[in-house]
Amino acid sequence: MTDIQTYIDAENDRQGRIERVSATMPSSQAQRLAEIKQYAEVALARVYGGRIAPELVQRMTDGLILDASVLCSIGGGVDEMPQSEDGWDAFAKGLVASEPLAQRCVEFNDAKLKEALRQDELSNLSPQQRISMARNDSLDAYVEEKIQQRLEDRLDR
Amino acid sequence: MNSVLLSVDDLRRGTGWGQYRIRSMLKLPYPLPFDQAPTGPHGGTKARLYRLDDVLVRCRLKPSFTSKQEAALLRLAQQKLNET
Repeated sequence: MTDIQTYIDAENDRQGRIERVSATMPSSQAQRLAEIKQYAEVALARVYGGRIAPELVQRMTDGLILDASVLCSIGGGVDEMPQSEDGWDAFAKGLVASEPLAQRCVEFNDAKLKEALRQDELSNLSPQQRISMARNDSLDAYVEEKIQQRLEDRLDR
Repeated sequence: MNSVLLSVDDLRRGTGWGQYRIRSMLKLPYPLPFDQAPTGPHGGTKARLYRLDDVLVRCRLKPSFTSKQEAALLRLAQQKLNET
């Protein structure tokens, strides 16, 4: 019970901070922040595709207003935001690493995909092959290898 | 998520304001939450460390806070961020 209340308090605190900072932000900085949010959204889509729920993407980009490096970049005169595609990809990975919900969402989607691939590979084998491989104790290793191959093929595309 | 904590001394350097103005800004209308820096080898008062976003909001609410002061404060925060 305490944990839930602590979580709710932390969430309210975060929302309050976001609202306070955005309410007092000058328009020029708000414009720059909107650009950064857009770059971050594109980078998240590029790196993770549809593996992160849109609500979580929204949550992460909203939270950028509290990030010290973002605040410093939009108002401090020294732009330290990434300038290349790779830099933005690393930024997106950092965002997900700092958001436990997004990490869980990615892991869940990966597990779901792996299970679908596993079922697909198993259905490609004939029942005789499946039984003989299961008796040899090589079925799991074979399927795992096939799943890894297909995952890598997906990444290469 | 990167975060920077600023002490009253950092705020004095960043804004150019005196310590009394900064202290009243941090305490009114309600005291801002703060962390405490660890004490040094000889003990002494633990410095209060405030979050950058909290401090920025309070500063922006002061009519005398200019964009130049804001830029200076953010540059100082960036230096601290790069140091850590």
